[in-house]
Amino acid sequence: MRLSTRDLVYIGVFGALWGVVEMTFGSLLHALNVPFSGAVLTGIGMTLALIGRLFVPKRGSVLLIGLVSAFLKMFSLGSIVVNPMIGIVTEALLAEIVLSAFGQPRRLSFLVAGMLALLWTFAQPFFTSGILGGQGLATVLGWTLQKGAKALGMLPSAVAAILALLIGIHLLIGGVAGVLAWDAGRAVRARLQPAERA
Amino acid sequence: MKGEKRGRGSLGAQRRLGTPGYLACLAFSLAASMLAPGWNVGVACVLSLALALAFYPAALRVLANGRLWLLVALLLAPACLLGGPPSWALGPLALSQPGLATGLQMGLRALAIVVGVAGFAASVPLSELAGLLERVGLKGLGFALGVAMNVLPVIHERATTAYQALQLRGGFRRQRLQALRLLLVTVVANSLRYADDIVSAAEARAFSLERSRPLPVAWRARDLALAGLLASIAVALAVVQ
Repeated sequence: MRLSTRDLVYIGVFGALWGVVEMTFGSLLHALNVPFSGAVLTGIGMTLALIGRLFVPKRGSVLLIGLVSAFLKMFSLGSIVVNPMIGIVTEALLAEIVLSAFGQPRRLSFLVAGMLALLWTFAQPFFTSGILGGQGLATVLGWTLQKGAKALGMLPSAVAAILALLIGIHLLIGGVAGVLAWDAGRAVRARLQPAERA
Repeated sequence: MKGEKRGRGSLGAQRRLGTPGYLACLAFSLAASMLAPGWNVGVACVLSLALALAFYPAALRVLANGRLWLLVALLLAPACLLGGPPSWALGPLALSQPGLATGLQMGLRALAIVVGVAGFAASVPLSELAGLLERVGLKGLGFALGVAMNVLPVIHERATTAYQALQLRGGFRRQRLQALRLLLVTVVANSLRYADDIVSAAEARAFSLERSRPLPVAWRARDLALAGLLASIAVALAVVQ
């Protein structure tokens, strides 16, 4: 991967955009106790990172944007940042794997990358609390079901329905993020092109 | 000063270790708390707090954060109630002794990690972290991080201005999703215009990634000794039951 000065500056700027979203919207959404706030936040961040891929169409660019954003998050003092850092880096890595596998940026690759990244938001507690933290997968599944049942207004006993809905909502947010990134990225390019020509 | 080398941009006299020393402390806090079995995690947590007290006391401020203790309580409560056969009754609640032990170990693990990360973030300047990353092969990431740090306030200000302009023109009264998309496009386009100015400035100064030297990293003679000692303790904590 050979990156030019322009590529690096763009990576820094898109990382900063994701960082701004994490540091401002993140606190706001958690303070307002919005359901699926983590997924919404990841969706916005992933949209920005994927737009970044349109402007730096090289392997590893989304991962680097994620790393920059994660380090900015780490240095936003006064908050507990370990979980979001793991989340940001893993989501960026998953999106990068999908985009690299598809080769040239395409709407479909953006859609799949967004969906896979958002699926991690759902899976992360199982990894961090369940496996790394030692709480056990069953315990984390219980918390997920209780939280999901409350957010969806369902009974916790409807295990399969809650899990399917939770996964579906995360995939939907990821898909929207991917498609929005593709469309908005092209709109940004169209807006900047007259200036570039001049 | 003998036995000490410092790069530009270091925090100077108030730093008690070089950047590799702080990195060793962070690695110890993460590795020891993750790998230590059973109550060894208590020793890992005490050592992490002792490191913080000795080398980065500012990190201990995180212990005054209510959200940290809420996190610990959230780890402890379900484990106590659901973590095994009930051992004691606390009113209508049946508490489990193995669950309490698991919950306490989880809490200690979380404390060690949070203090370690907070200490590293409070002690190592971003420029040195960037230099460290460049030295381990992530060339260019340091430059990108520097750009990100510098553009952060500009992006924040421009995004706020774009949001307020859209709001004043009634952008969010109807077709809110369309307005959000427009806001996204505007913010990204503005940021990229600013990015082009940075690229022009860098090129005007003849900056090139191939010719650039990694940012300097401050290190001290005791860093290596501390790293070795902490690695040995982490291995002992992971192996000894």
